[in-house]
Amino acid sequence: MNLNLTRRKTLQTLAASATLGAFAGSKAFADELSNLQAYTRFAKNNPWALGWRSAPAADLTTPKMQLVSGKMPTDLSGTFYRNGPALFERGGLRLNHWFDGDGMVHAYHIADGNISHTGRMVRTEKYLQEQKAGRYLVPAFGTNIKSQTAVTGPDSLNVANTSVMPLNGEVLALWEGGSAYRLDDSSLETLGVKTWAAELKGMPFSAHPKIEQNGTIWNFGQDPFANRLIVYKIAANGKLAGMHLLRDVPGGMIHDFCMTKKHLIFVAPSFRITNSGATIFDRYQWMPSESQRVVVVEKDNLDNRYDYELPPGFQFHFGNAWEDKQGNIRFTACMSDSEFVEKGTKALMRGQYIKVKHAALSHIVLRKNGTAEIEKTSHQRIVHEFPQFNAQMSGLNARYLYTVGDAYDNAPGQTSVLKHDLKSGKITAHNYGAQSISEEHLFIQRPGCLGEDDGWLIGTSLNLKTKATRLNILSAKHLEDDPIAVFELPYAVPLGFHGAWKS
Amino acid sequence: MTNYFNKTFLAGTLFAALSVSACASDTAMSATDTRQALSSKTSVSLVVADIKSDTGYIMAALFNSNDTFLGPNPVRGERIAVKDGKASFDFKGLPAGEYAISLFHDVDADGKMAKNAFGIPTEPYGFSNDAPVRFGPPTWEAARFTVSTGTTSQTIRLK
Repeated sequence: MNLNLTRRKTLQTLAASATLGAFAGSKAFADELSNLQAYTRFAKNNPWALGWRSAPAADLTTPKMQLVSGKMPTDLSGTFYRNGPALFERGGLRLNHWFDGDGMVHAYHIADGNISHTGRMVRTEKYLQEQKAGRYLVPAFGTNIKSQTAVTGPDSLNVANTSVMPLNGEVLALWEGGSAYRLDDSSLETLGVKTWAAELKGMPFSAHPKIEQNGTIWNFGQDPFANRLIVYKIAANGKLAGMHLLRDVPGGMIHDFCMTKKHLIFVAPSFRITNSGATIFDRYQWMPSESQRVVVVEKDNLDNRYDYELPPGFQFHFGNAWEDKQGNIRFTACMSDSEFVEKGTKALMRGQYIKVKHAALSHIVLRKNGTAEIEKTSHQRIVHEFPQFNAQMSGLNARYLYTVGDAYDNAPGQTSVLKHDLKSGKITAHNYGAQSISEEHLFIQRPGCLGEDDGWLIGTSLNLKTKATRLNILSAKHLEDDPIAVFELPYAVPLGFHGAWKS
Repeated sequence: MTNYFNKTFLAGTLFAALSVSACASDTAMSATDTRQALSSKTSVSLVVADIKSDTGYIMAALFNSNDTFLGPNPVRGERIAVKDGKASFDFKGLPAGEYAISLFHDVDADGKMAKNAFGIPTEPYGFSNDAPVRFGPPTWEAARFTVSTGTTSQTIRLK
């Protein structure tokens, strides 16, 4: 009897665990897991999930990065700053959206053949309050967290996690929904929010300022809820030179914009704000039949405006823009739909990958006669994102554009840096290999050289084999060659967004 | 994102109410004289906390109904001096009932709530009961308190 009971119990237990085992492998089970449970579980089998793990500490320092291969060019010195979300969990809660993580700014300081690294979490108001409490206190852009403290404006939610802009001995940590945060450009210590003028206090300042050859900076801040933008003009000395309120700009998610010699171009994509959704992010909806709306203003007279329509689409980023001889405006965009931002980014936070439509380089023309068109879209070397070009060509007809590229089939990220020759259509590449994720690479002109591609591409990559972040220096002219130099940190920092260079 | 915050602030008349409260105080005072005679022992003792600077004034508005809350017609409006990071005022001679207070720190002493180019308030403010600010001003329900005979205390922390 006893034996029977024991045996029956054992059988029951076995049956139960078999069911549980099958259930554990099922989609329903995966959906039931919290973000933290899912990430913990799936990250084990997905090496790429390292890219979405929180930074190992709030402050990181490496006095001398390890040289992996090559040799540092003797004429290269300066600081490469980067920013990206780097803290994804608090009090047992893992955020829902990649863009919600608190920002960490990195400084890779290159001097005398060495590279030192400093990484510091930006001490935003939100970060300080939530660190003290040990839990999330205010809603994140894409994570529905009940407010437990005052939310008095966008800066209550500011995570300062998107890009950087060196300015007058400081580095600004940029977000797009609120103020830029000022950091000491050497220690990266947070100094407070940047207020350009009393009437601009707490206003959004996008993560993609455009800089003219003479140092003049243009930027914008969007209020999608009221269909308006503020345009900033900042003189080379860092002082506000002007601002302009632009109305009737549809509330599509505008992350980046374009600048030619004469014009600023804003594209409101078909990913539009609505009145329903649990989070601000969820209030955006993909509207596949809605045209993209383009608003062009003259830099010399921001009241002079021209409106265009483009076929439905979504892009985070634009390449360079210029006016051709006929006076038409031409630019490139890394265009796709909203699948990645809506679904892909959320899956990443759970350590899961879902296949989404990749961004491809579209060539756009806005004609003087009022018509607009996507002239062609390149689908070579899948994924074209994080576009960069020689800063001296800003607003001019640049021949070369650099992006990341070569997507994995079954994992997020890309292995390569691509060089697009916009004149011939040819793409050359440097591939970091199957166990790397390549991040944005900046073009740095070699001192004393004028050739458009005479310089270096500098960027980070995450090496999944060594589980460490690398800094790579490539020849822009001969991209397919071995890297000029590769350095490695003794740790991995989470994959980030954008960087900037200071000579 | 921004209008998420200022939709209510702008469309609502909170700051209109606060801005006129200094003027309203003049007219309100004459009415007060009569009421004081009626109920001189009923008052609200207001203390404003978390004031970051001594410049300017605290502009406070007292409301007595949901209909008028945050509108241009508070029952009392008061401009209160700030000293050593503190400000206090007693609203005396009030009829018993339900009340709510909204106030802001008029740091630049221009009599108006400063707002940025998108209409988001940029001077510190607060509400009775320290009613929470979640993307906009609180409801009457969250800010209201009962006043009966004697002194009712309200400490409001600036946000």
